[in-house]
Amino acid sequence: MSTIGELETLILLAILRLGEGAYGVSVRDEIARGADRRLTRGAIYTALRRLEAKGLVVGELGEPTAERGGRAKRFLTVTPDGLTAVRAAARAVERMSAGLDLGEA
Amino acid sequence: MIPWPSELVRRALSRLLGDRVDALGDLEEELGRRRAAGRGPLATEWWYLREGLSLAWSAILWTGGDGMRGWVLEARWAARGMVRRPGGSVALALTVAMAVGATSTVYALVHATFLRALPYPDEDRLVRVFGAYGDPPGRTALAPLGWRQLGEQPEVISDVGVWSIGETVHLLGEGEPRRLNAPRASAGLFEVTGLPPARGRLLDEGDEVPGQDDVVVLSHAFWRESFGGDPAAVGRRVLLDGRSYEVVGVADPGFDLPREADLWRPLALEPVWFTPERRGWEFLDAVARLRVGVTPETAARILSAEFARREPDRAERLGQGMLAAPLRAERVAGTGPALTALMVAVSLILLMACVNVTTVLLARAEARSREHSLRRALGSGSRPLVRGAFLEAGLLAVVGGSAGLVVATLAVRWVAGLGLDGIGAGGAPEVDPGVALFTAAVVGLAALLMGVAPALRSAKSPPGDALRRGGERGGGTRSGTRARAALVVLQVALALVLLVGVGTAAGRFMALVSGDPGFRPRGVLTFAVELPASVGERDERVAIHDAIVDRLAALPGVTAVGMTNALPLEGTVWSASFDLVEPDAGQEGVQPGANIRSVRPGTLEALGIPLLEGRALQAGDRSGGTRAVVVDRALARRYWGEASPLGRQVQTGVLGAEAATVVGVVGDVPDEALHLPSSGHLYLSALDRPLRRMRVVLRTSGDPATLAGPARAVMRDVDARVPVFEMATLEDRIADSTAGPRLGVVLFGFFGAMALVLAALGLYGVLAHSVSLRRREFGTRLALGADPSALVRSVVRDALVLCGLGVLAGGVAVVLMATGLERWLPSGSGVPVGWGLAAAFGLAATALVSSLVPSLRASRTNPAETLREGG
Repeated sequence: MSTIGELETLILLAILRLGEGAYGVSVRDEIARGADRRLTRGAIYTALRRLEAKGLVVGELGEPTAERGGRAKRFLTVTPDGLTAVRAAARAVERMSAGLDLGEA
Repeated sequence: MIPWPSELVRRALSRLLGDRVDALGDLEEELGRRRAAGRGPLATEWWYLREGLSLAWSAILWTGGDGMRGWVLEARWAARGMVRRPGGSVALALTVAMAVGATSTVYALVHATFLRALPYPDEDRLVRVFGAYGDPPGRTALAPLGWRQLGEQPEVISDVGVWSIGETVHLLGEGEPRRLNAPRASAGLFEVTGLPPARGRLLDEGDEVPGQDDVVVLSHAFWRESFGGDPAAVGRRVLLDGRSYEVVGVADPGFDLPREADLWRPLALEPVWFTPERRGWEFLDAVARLRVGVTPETAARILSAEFARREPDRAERLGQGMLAAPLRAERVAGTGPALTALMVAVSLILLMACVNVTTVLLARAEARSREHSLRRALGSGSRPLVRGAFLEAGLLAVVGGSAGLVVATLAVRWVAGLGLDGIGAGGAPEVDPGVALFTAAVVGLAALLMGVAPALRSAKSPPGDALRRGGERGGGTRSGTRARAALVVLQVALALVLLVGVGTAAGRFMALVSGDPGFRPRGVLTFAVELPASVGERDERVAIHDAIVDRLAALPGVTAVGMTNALPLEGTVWSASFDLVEPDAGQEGVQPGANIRSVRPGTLEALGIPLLEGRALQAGDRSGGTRAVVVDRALARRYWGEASPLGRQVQTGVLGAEAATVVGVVGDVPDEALHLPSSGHLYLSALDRPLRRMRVVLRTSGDPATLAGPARAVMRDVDARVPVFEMATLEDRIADSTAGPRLGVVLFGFFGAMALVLAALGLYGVLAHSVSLRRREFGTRLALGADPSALVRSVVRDALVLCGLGVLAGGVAVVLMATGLERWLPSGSGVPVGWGLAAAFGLAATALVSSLVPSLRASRTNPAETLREGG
């Protein structure tokens, strides 16, 4: 089972939250909204590539549209392996922070 | 044109992203949203560029693997380094941009002039053919007989075509008559080039029958301009000089023999033109296609041998023969040396720019030597450091070079707009893919040149060395000091070579433009008049000319009026051979040639051509009275040596059977260009041989331009049928004829200024940097009681010594190059030593200021302060 970094965790979580409509733009917006992190464009596509290569995310091309300069969207879904990985990452954070007083956010 | 940067990014991304092109779709979608949100177009453009580049970096990383990743990281590092010092980086990029721009501009001119083919199939086999006389050979046009004889050399020449020189017609129609260049062309002229007609047909041999020659072929440009490119123009009739011609076709846009032709009429000659009696009527320019494998030299030799067989006397005694010169070379004659000089100049500029940038990069590498040592100490090899140095240089070269390409595009467009003779034989100069490729090569070379010294410097940072030393003293490394010293010397040497070259070239051209041309152009207005074809022969023409001259002479401010068939610098418009009556021993059978000028009495005085011997032409000098001619010194020397030609008699078909007496000798005027000698003028009276087209010369006591209006009014009054054209002051005409050299002067001056600025910037940069490295040392010495002025003196002395070495090296280079200089400059007496000294002095002054300013500043600082900030 692959372990994943924080950036990858955030992306997986964003895809899960978005459900059907997850693709590059919406994932980036979701992370900006939910985690208050503005990822650079290069970073997010690099991470997505890596996640797909690891088999944690599957991309599926939609229909090309004019407002996208004739290019299709790549709709993203988290695979069962991806789900396992994100669960493990979240647990790791939980376990590691258990019993610590980190103060109020 | 140049696409928006965003469009470039878009294209790059759609390639780079491959199957991940959906990321580009995402980017486009967000772009749409931002536009819809009403963001400003510039802000949006900027946003797109940033985001696109971020994506592009990543895409490069995906495809490149680990090796690529190292490069990209280093490139990023270099880019960040540039962005962190925006001022310095912009200055460096601008330096590169100017140098690359200048180099590419000159290359584009060279490319269009020498490397691109003329628009004719197999153009390398096309030659111009001339008659030749003397040594070095002067040239004459061909007589019809000479043309026919060319056609009888099938083993050398496969096709030959000719056109008549300087023929114009008036196009009559609505409004004022228009004057058109309408050479009469042989059918072979169209065949020889191998270009098909754009419309209709070209002239053929059936048109060369006198009386059936009422057809014309239009030039493509004239067809577009006057007929709006209407295909129905073919078949229409036009009225030229009162005769109706049928338009049978339109020539190919590339067909330009001769260049200025608006239309071509058939060359229909009566048989009498091909008799030996008319061999003196040399009015045809010829273009021939050589057989495969025949060189122009071979052709000239064979044609000359054939000429010698036919006319042994002229060949032996006068060295007359034939000349063949490649058509391309003819087009660019005189341009080569100037372009070579410019190419050398811009290469030096480029080198200087590279040296400048190297200096700064070296200083940066030195400033980072602690970081480099640390990286080495931590286990990094020297490779990434070298790579980093080259990447920094490469990035600067690419950014600067791209800007340089834009500079070149604009500059080339400007030069092309000037329409200079001899530039762009293969079409107008432009920044085409060939030039772009050259620019890319230059950028690559510049990157290597600029990167190599900093790379060596970085590679030599021994682990831990700078860490240790940095704490001890702040004088920079010894190798760094040596490198800087070498750069200063190189910089000064390059600048000296460039300044001396530029100064010499500019000086010669200026002398050319401002020197004594042999006549006095100031205060003279000229214009051309052309009598309608309906005006009869001599007496009728003279009567109209008399009326014109009398009326113009009465205008207030006019001090002299003349008329001539051609002005100085107008070239050879009419050349003819003549016979010496009572030739001296050894001159028997000699048939000299001359550039014939038909002038009314008083014209040479009006032009300010000095009378050296004898008398000028007078009103009585015409057939029936005395037949008189005046020759210039060049012609007199050629045929009578140092003996006076006064009283000698000549005979020429131009004047009929009667012999004419030489009554005077006048000064030489150049006939083609200011820097070329006179080919020998024979002045005969326009009262005897009045031509339909003459140029009026008005010498005035005031500003000649103010007479333009009154002169036109007079001309309308005298005869409204006579069109007036090409009205200009003589000074302006000369300015036009020297536009090429002038542009040369301007460009050389511009490059000289660039060289000086580059040298100053470079010197200042290096010296200021070395002083800043020695601040600690200065502080210590000052604290120990050293005399501040002694410190300043020592810095200035070092700088001047380096400068002196540079001047010495540059001086040696100049002496070595002097012979080369001679070849590409108009004649003059060597390299002006005074100018070289001035350039050396200027560079020394620059070195003085560049070392004085920073060292004074360093000597005035509080020693304690500099010591504290060291550490």
